[in-house]
Amino acid sequence: MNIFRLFLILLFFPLTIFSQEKFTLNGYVRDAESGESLIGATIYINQLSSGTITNPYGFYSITLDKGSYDIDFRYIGYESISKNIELIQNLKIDIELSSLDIELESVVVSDVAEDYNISSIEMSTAKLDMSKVTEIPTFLGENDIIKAIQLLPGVSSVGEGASGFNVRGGSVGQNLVLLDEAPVYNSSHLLGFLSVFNPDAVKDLKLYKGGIPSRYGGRVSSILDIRMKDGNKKEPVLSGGIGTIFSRLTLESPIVKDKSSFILALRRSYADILARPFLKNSNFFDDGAALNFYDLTAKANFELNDNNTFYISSYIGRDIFKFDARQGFNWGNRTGTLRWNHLFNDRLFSNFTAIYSNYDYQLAFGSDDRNKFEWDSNVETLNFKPEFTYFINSSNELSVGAEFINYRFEPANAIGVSDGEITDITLPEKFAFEGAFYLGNEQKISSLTLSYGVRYSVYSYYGPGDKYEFGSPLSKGERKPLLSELSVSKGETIQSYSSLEPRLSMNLLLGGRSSLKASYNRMNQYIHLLSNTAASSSLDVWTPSTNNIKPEIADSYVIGYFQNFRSNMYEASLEVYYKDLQNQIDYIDGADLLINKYIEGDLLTGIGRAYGVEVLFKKNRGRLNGWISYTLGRSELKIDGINKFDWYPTRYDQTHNFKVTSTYKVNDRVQVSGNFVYLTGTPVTFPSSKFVIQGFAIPHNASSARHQFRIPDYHRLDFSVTIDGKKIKRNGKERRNDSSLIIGVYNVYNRRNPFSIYFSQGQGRVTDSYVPGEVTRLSIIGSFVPSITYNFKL
Amino acid sequence: MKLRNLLLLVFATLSCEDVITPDLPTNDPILVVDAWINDMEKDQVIRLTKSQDYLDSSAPVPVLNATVNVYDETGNVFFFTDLGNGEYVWTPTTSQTKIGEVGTEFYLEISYQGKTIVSESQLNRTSVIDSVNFVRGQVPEGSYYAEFWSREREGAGDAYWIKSFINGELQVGLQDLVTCIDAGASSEGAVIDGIPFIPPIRRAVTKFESDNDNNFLSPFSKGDSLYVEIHSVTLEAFDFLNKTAFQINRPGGFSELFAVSLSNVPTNLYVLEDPSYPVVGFFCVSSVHGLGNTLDEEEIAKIELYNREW
Repeated sequence: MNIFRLFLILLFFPLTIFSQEKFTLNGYVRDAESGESLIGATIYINQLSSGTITNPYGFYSITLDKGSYDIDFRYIGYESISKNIELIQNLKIDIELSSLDIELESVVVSDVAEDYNISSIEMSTAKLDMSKVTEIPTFLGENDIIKAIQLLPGVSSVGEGASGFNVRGGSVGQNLVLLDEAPVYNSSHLLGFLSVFNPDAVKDLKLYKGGIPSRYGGRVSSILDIRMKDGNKKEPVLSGGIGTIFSRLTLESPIVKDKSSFILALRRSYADILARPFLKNSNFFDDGAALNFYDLTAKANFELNDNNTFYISSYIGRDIFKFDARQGFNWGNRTGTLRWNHLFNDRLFSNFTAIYSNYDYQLAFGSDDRNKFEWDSNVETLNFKPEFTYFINSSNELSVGAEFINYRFEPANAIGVSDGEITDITLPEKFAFEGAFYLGNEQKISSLTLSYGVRYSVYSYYGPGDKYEFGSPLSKGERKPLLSELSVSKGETIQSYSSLEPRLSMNLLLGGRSSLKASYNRMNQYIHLLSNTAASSSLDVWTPSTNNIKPEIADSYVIGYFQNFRSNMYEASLEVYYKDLQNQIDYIDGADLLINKYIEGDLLTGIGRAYGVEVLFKKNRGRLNGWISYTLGRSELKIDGINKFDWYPTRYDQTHNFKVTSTYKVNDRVQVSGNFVYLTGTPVTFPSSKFVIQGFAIPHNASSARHQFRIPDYHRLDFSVTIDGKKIKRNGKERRNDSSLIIGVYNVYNRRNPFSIYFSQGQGRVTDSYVPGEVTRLSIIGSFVPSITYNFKL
Repeated sequence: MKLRNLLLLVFATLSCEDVITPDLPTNDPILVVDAWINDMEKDQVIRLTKSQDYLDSSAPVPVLNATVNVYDETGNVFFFTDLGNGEYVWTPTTSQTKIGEVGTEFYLEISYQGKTIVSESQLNRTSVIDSVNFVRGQVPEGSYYAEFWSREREGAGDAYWIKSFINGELQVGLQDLVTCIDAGASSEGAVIDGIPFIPPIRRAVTKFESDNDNNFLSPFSKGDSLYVEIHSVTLEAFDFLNKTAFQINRPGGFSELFAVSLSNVPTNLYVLEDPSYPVVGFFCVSSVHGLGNTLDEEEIAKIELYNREW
């Protein structure tokens, strides 16, 4: 275990050379108005020209030599606080920062020097301020964090209406989406038009595309870490909005002022309510039809004392489509997170998290109890995560922890009743355990910052369950024949895997305003989202690694250059990435992924690669702000049985991905925002010919090449105007209530952006003299879409 | 149907489709073998044609002057006569009224331009239809639907292709490729066996179509006849039909979100001299059971008497 030895040497090397008396400064940084902890706030020590940042709980700790220090506490969009501190003993300083009032004068180049993007070890990460998310024009006027991150470099989707997102050429199922540390298995409402995250309840989000710290694991493409708001600790606030699709209502309030608080955020769609008048001629809703989706996000926190804080948070969301009282489908996520932050001492911060997460869907069809079909499926996880952060000194921050995840999969609980006769086609449950231990240190050596760590992951697919063995198909790319089926008893291991995942990052500061960063990480993914359709669907099934499905492995290499200009008003970065992927999954033609016991025989595996260049140019302040993002990328697979075992682009491969988003403050009440997006069309397979069998005209592709063409390029402009309510009453007093009106237009110039091109007989039928065959270009959103949203805060 | 109504309402305003004429790749026409024969006591036809460019809508070019024979494992030979239009026909005789019995293995052999194209298929048992019933429809009001009743035989691993004829005309619409394993499974990974065909299968003989204003039309009108046939197919042929359905059944709209990539359907044809010689198509021998009914006064009276509905 050389890597561990190296680790220990690196870790304790700096401790041995300092012997001067040291003291620790720690505390929490919070928002002065709401008491919300601030994640990633900077604690900058002027004398050292360095510092630290707050962790996801707003906590910081820094150990320094005895002395006098000028310390700045900073956070984007907040007024900085500077303090002179005589550090002659351990000190706890909690800081409350006030958000900058959006007075234009004060938003000129200020002293809020934020150079986090160049000074931090992090690269390939995207952090969006929630205030920024709300400024971006959106489809139907619904602010959406998943849509917002798709405006960043390296993030894309297969098209409008597609659920999830793709990061650096990875599939939707290769992203780990965490909401208060609970995995969310399906992040979409209404196909993929909206995400399940209520922006009113989200405090912070960070997307890791590369350089992923050792505390995260389990997916090969990215980690999206979303943190809920804690709830206002100062005063009760009721806020909400009325939009085109959703109505939102959020209540937050202190339970004990400055000590504990809660937040309760609810959204519900009213498509069904709006649809009623259009269906007045039918009895559509009379017999139980429904179309709606809702989500409830709740969290409470209790600060027991300076050293112990408890958090409990939960998310429940559901999409419901019912054709009548008996028939329809619905799906949703449920998560619960219980956390205990404990400070062992000034320097040792710990967090213990217990997590429950469940994703399920249900379908029901049939006219009566004698003729029906009922089917549900779910994935359920129980997760325990102890984590420790040891703030060794101003140059070292050690994190150690573990993660234990138990998975239970119910691929299908299904019964069919035909003329009163019941057939149970339930598939057996599957069980798996994933464990990980990690160790990581962030170390500063003058202008060089290193972050190094390892994650050791273990995995076991265990019984009760069935172990299947498959032979080789007659020809490659065909269904594998079943050789044997073995029943495995409870607790017995069917297959196990383990892996050592090294994680390395470095940041070399070049002068004051630029830096060079590089990272390497290996990621293992033990559970897989099986989906062979253009976009991922709500019925896609998560399935564990087995003796037939090996864990997916990614080795990701990134190098980047970061530079800021004009006192950090402008940020620029360029990153080059390369990902090498193993055990990637594709499917035989005609694979049956639902209610199929022998699903493993329908999977093909091979290798993948993704590479590209990402450029981001951002203007942080001023009347006009926003960013320009460009990605040049490629994402390919090479799988025996597909495309003659040659590389082919994935369905979500995009060569050029160019996005601009900007906001212009007209005055202190009105701002206008716009997006422009230009994307290379995604790949598609075209036939060369057709032939007639039994009266059907069947397309044929003589070359057998997969995805050899592309649909036309995509481009779109969106626009919105936000008008804030008057802040000052007529009598000159300040209004207590805020409100704003947002008017937006999506797809301003009415472009019919294609989602796909497909080949069909259309309305035609094969006759003796005619063989139909037509090519159709489909636009999911084929017109401009106006929207209006009203938001309030009481 | 309600589902369609709902989806139309929510999405029709947003999505749009345009028929386009892109530059598609072309390739030389290849041999197409359409060899689906059965145990019915009537002419059995095997069609040989050439493939054509995707956007070429003219009739397929027939393949002439081939020799087409089918053998069975007992030594019977069936000579298929070249009609000169791409059709090769075997006509039953008084001594050989049909091609054979369930359980028999059949072999296809085609000689064409110096190549020998071979294949094989088993004549599997089929399921017997007890009745074809019309029922009262819900949408639109006063409409009629239909379903067939057949108890699928016990024992897993049967595969079927259900064909329907309305007023004598075979239905070959995009939704009309109705296949299943046993009483309604879509793969061997789920077993639905030995019961009446499940509703999505037995009701698939009812087609929902709408007029230009998206108003649903009654699937059947008074006087219409419906004839249903269950063809047994081999599991390989089921796979072929299943994959064909994936490729041709593209209703468009939001279903494209969940469409699979275009890929070639399989073939069970093999060229002896040159396995890489391009040929597409399929050989399958089916056992068929069929039954029909007419929506006449008597049937309408039965609907009312038994209050027949789905």
